[in-house]
Amino acid sequence: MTTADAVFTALADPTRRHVLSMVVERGPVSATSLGNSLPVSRQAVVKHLAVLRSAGLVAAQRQGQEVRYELVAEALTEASDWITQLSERWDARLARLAAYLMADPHA
Amino acid sequence: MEQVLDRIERELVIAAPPERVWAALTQPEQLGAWFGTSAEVDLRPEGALTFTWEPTDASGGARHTNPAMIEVVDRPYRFVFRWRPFGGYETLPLTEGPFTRVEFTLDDHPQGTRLRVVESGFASLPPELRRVQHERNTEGWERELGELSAYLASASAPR
Repeated sequence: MTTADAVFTALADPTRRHVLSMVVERGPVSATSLGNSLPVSRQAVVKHLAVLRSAGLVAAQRQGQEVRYELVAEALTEASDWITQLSERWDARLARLAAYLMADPHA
Repeated sequence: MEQVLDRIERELVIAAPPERVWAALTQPEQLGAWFGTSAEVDLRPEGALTFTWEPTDASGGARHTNPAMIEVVDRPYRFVFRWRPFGGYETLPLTEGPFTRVEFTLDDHPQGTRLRVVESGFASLPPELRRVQHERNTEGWERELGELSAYLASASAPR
């Protein structure tokens, strides 16, 4: 499995995407703190974090009694390149649409 | 984050009234002028929409078709279809199996029409599809760029 495959597999689950977005906003953050703000158990949050960690999306650090998680931005690059490429296709299509309608606005 | 990996959003103002933009989005011969090489459209919810790209001198490549299924027809404000902008799953109907959803929203604007496009559902595609799509889109993007430059170079294109 390539890095992008692992990343997308990890992100296929909407709750897991939500967990990751909260890690991005609040990291470094503990599973307990995330669990308090999500409608799922702390145990479920820990499982999601484990999947994100094995995909290389988050890193864990022990701080005293707690384990805190934060984003590893590099893992997202390959995955977001793919979306960027698809976005560029829309840019090209919409540029053609606008040009087409400007050429003949009343057709 | 969720947004970035699951959806593509674009918005632009077009100097033409919504009815005119609507026609460009939904009439087969007009879709052929900017989206693909040609299109077939059964304009109703659950109607079939098929895009075809023919190879051109400028871009080369192979002919391919892309089936879509219409979900919403609310003239001239909202047009929604689901499709698979990638290979594989050709025999599986769009009512089953993976797809992304394309939503066009048109609003009145002092300069004409505000057009918003959202394509969503990328995050829930099976991961193996993404690689196929990556390769096909590289090819498709080069082809589209070729078509775009050919179009802009033609005498009829506005500056």
